[in-house]
Amino acid sequence: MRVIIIFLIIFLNFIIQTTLLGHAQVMGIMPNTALIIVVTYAMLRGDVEGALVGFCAGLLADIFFGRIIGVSALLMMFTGFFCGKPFKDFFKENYIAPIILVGIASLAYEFMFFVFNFLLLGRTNFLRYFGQIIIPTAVYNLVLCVFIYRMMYGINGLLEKREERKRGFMRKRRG
Amino acid sequence: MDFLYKYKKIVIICLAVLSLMLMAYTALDRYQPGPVERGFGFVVTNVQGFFMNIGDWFSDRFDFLVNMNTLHNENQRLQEQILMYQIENARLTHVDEENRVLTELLDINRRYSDYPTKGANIIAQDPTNWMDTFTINLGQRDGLAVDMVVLAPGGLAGRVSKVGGNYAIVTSIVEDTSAVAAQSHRTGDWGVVHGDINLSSTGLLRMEHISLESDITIGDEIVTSNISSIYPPGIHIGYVVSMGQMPNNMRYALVRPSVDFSRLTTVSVVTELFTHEPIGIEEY
Repeated sequence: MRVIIIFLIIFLNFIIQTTLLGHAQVMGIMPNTALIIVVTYAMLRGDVEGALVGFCAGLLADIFFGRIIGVSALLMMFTGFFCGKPFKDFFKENYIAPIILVGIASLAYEFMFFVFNFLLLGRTNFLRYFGQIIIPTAVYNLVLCVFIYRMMYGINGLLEKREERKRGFMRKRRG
Repeated sequence: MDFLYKYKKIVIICLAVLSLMLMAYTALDRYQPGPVERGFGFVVTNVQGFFMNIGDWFSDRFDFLVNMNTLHNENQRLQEQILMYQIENARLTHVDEENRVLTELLDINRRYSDYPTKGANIIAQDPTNWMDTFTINLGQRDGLAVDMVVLAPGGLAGRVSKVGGNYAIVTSIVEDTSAVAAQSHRTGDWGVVHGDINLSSTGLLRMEHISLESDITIGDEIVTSNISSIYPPGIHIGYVVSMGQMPNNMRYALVRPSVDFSRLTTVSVVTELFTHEPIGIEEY
């Protein structure tokens, strides 16, 4: 159940990102909603699930638009993995932690994306890319992060409640 | 899900190795989608097409509401313009006929309007801010192949870079890694038109490797050059808006493309290949 729901979310997000989000550009910059979903999911569920979800989301984008398949998959996987690290140590009702983590993750992800896709092709004027693309994207991501975290938190709560019920049911049957 | 946490390290390493292998495999040559990817693409592109239509519909309604009061004036202006074009058209038909006769006499066998084209709708765009690629609703089934030239209202839009069964990915000329051998229509001076991500907010292109002796000036029309390995010569790209000098004793020009890439919804694909031996500048 959980697997189906999360893949549906990723798939739907990809569709929206590639079609409708183009209308929501601010000064030619689009938010990376896939990244926000991966980070928030990893925070709620831990590093391994974060890594798996990140891998799938990255692969989806790669298959259609990547110059080399696997770059986004690898980067998203590690983003999900590292963002899932502190998941037991914070209050999940608090919004400060996700905001900080999404900010850091956006900067790191976009920077590594730049390294893989541009620096290795000989584009060295990093500062211009940083100011023109990386910072604006991170800011846009921060704005959306609150809403997406709220949504993911709700969905995750429902799933966990359902899993809890199922587990209780199993225990009763065994006992 | 318990096994995932038990073999945490193995799972992570497997995923990393898998993506590295994919990278190595797809970076080797100009990779084209395999059967699994195509089947998947078939499903996804259909859903994307549906969503894109919804988005365009709302965007049209929104534009209509915003522009309602100016519509009357615009209508009048357009009516006048149509009248002007009708007169112009009558003259041009005559000139065209004359041109055809003269061309036959001169035995030139290729003209801009002769290319076989197919109209296509844009159904999705790249989700990152780094690339300028988009998906169109034609694919191998419609006779498309890699490196076919894509035109848009105004001029050159890009080229086909990946082909699936019923979809194709187009790399536009404003993409950072795109390079087009081009020349000034007036002087014939040669250069390479690059996309530049740092110019993306202004929508301009950068034309580099222009020699110091050339006399390209502001306002010159830039067209594709006959030394291009992908594009046929003479396709309109845009106009020069400013000139500058690079540190390596070459000049560069900023070119405003005639295609409005932010509002592109339909393109036409030239279903004929012009590729010949690459000369090296258009490889990224």
